[in-house]
Amino acid sequence: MTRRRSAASGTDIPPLTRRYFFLGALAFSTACRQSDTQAGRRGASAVSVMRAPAYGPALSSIVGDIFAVHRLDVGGKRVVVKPNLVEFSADTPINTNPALVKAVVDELEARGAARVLVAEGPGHRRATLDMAASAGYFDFFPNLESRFVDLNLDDVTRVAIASPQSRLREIYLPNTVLGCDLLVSLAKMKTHHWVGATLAMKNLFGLVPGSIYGWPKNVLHWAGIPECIVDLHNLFPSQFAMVDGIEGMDGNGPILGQKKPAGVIVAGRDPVSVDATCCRLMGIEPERVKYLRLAGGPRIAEASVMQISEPWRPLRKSFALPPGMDDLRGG
Amino acid sequence: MRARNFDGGWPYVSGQSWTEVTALVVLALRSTSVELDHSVMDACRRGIDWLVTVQRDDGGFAPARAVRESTWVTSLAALALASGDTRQRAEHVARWSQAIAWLLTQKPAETSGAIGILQRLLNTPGSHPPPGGAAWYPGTAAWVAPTAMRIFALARAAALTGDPIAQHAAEQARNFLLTRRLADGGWNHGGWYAASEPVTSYPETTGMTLLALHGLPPETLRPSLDLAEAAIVHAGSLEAWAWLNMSLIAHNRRAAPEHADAPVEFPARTVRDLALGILSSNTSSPDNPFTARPA
Repeated sequence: MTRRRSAASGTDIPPLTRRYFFLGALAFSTACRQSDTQAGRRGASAVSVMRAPAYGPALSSIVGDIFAVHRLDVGGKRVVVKPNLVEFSADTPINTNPALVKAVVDELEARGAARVLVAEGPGHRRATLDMAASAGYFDFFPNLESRFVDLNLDDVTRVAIASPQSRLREIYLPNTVLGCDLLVSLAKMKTHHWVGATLAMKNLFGLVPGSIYGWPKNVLHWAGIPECIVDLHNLFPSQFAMVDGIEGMDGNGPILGQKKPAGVIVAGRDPVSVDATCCRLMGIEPERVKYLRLAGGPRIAEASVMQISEPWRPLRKSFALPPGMDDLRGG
Repeated sequence: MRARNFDGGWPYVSGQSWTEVTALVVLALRSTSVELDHSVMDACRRGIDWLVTVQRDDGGFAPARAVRESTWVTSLAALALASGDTRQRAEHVARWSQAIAWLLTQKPAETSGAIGILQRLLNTPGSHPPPGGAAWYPGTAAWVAPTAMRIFALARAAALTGDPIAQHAAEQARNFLLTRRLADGGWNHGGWYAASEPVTSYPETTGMTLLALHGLPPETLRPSLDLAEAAIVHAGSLEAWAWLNMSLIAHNRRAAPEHADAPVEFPARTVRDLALGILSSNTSSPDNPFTARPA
């Protein structure tokens, strides 16, 4: 049996069999929860709110500033950038804008990332690359196929969910994201007719492979949507969350809503704190969003989030809420 | 052929073999009207051999070797096992029967158990789905695409064996699809509304559903076929184009490929796309289960 040498410990480690991968994922998940607890003890997670009025040339320097302010070290790392691709549409703010994806990929490469992939697994439509073409991705990445992974069609590994919030006890996940060093959840700032808001955490639904669970990934609905959002979040401890609020969507999101220019990019290492901050910017009480409550507890309180760069209050835009969800506004 | 894995199956793009792709490739290769050379026939045989390895004890098929659950792909695997000549079909007839039996026992979550009883008690529009729909994954609700595939598999079983149970189940599934038709005449994944706002159809699910409903009275499907004719111009993907093209040919709204100048403008992004494109070019083949006349 060939054995590999661990750079970290200098010990011999066995080849990466499916069983070892499974156990490794379990250990990874446990470590994640411990790390979350430590973050909770510190009581603060840094979240930046940057003004970004348009998808223009200034985007590169804004993204550079975001990475600088968070001191994000990606040197030598395998990074997966996960945008939100939902529908064939170039005219509506339904998908993460490709200009922002390009700026993020360029910045990651400039900072020495070993490999930067763009990966997504849409929930309703199967022709992912055609949808990316329709959304303008090939204008920014002429050879998109060379760095794009359709997560609905990727090889998979079964992963146990150690302390599930949902009814799921295990889930199959794509090897591309299980094997990366950093997952950049590059979400869109949108309202959502089932959970209130879809941001960096909900964006991880796109990691769940349609090849197994279908289109839509209905198993997540039956297991509890807010709870599954938390379970997926807990499985990926090494994340950097960025939310494209340059043009968001309000009203009957995440598909049938209207364009809502918010002119911001919200980012941070802790997706829970990032999403809570996004909610405040959208005029939604984070404590009233179930998945944030489940995932963050006291961490979603404003005092627990370390706000860096621009203060959020002057940038707040009141997003129209989906029908029947006025209670998200709070007092 | 170049995309084939050493284990005899096919990947979506690269990597592990998948049941859906392998079944579609076998069907596509067997639907070609040209005389198959030895290597292609051997590839089909090895593809079927690979499919057999993912059949589970319950008779259903897993989507891939790594997966421990039988799912909707059982419909496609059953179609592949039922393809080819009599001798080829006879090799796996027992396994094929088990797959059909699995399909006949599956019920989506919203029509079974306590939830099914609750739905019937509520009896509000949309809360009382008719039987016959199929889920993507066990324990979840019925959706359009897996239901269409279930119809193809059951209709093929009824045609081969005259099984009235399979025939009845296919009819129930067709009724289910009719209840999921949207206001624009087409079908999306299977949802009617998003927060009470009507949604619009997708070209790919509209195409495959029209094929699954082949045989219904033309007046029932006229608005849907009108929509399909308009939608194929803006299909957006080879997948959508292939399903729409097959459905329009089957319903005599479009000439068969050998009589038509129908350029395909969409690239094949996956092996699945390629297989669907080949099937769409071979609509008159008796081995194309999507365009074969219903029993």
